[in-house]
Amino acid sequence: MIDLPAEAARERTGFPHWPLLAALLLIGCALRIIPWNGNQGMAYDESYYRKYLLMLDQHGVTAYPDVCAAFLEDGKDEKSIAKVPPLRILFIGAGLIWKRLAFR
Amino acid sequence: MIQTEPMKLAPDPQVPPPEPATCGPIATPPGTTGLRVWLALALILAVGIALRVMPWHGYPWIGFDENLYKVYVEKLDAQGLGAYPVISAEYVARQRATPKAFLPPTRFLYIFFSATWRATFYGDAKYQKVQTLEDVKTDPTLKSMRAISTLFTCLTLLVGAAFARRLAGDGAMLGVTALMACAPTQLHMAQHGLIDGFFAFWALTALWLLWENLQSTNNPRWLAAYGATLALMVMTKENAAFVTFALCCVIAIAHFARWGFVTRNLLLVTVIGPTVGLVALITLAGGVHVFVDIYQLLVSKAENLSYAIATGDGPWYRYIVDLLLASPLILLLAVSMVLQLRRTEHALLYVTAFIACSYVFMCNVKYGMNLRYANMWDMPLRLLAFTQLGLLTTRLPQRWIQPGLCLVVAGLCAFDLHQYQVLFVNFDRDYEMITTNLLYALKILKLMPPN
Repeated sequence: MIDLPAEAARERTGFPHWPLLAALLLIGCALRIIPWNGNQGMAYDESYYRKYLLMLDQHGVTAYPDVCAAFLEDGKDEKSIAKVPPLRILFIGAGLIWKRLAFR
Repeated sequence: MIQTEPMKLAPDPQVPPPEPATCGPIATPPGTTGLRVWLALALILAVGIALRVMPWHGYPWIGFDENLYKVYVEKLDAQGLGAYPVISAEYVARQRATPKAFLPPTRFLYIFFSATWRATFYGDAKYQKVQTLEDVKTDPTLKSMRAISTLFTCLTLLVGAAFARRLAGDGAMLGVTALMACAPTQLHMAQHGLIDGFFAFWALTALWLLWENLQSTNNPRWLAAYGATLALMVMTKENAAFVTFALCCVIAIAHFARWGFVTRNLLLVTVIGPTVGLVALITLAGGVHVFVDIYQLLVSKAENLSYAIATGDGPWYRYIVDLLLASPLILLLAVSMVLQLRRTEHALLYVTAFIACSYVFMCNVKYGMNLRYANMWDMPLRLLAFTQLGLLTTRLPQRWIQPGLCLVVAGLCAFDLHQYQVLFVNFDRDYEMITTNLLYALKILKLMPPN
């Protein structure tokens, strides 16, 4: 194993790195949580994830095959533009759970 | 060791000289160069010159800047050198009357060389407007300007070869010359009547001659050549200010880092050379007030020029982005080499210091960033890239090192030629090397705005 400079420094100084890691995680989480972005509107992909999520929220998780079927039906139309597929279920499902828990 | 006191710069005869320059593990001591090396160099140079001389470009029309240079060349050709103050005064009057910014007549040397070429090879040929593609191909003035650009990019290839040999030996000379022969930005400058390839020649020559002067104490021939080059560079383009400042910074670093002898004469020549160029320009312009007017007008108008605002802005790392788009492998290899440099590798530190110092000045020009201005970094970047390749190939078995290095260099050359074809031949809407054009040429962006 090669000692990275930080590891070597810790061995020399005995300085524990857990407090530093905790501080860095705290800063990183804060930077992600605090609203800090330019585009305030809804993005194209966001609008479709939202649509799938609302469909599942309204009709229940058992309606997932219907959501997929609707996507396929839409794709048959030559004039239809490319959309994000509903197969990204983990993201959509996680969003659904959060919505149910946070916005009952 | 050399003296470090500011007032005693000349080396004491009793004091041992600085450590000899090294260029990393690929360096071979510059000694007698064998016939095979010269033959290989001749072959590489022939290919490089052929790539520059034969017509091979996309944009078929006369460019905006080319048109302006053409006017100056024809005026100088028609009225002679004595009329230069009149040409300068006309520029001031015209520039005052319009919100647009035109390139100034103080870019004398390129205009003068082009006019001389025209007078020599096209004699009394009539001045004509360029309106059709046939005009572009046959106009004597435009052909003269393009010939000068081609000639000086060929000379840059030669100077780059000599400089690389002096810095790092025969192997580096061959490798760097091969990479320079196929450098897309060099080929582009050779194919159009633009000043930046011409300017890069003077900047690179000044960098080389400064190195020679740092290595040999008070050699009158090296000093004279260095001073003359600085004077001529100042007479070429206002960007000479950045190069001169960068060279001054490099001299300071060289003194403290002990890369060579910083003598009083070298400092004097570094001041006198550009001053002579400046005085010559002021004389040609017809006086200090005209000269000052020209630059004040250029700066004030350029800051309001919509084209410059639209294409010359960006963050400090814009040149890195542009270089990455033009020659990604060369830039990545060069950067990786810079990150591994050791204090003893004077030659590589020297070229790195030049790039860094000139970069600091060039990235701070408001609305004044363009890959064209980075043409003078092509050779230093390729020296760093080649050294990195040398380091990588040392991991091969001994007998495969040389063939491996040749193979990789050949591959890089082929890639760079492909980049040239994509960036400057297939993309034929414009000849400007601005970021948006590079992105469209590489098909990163495809929603092309209307012309």
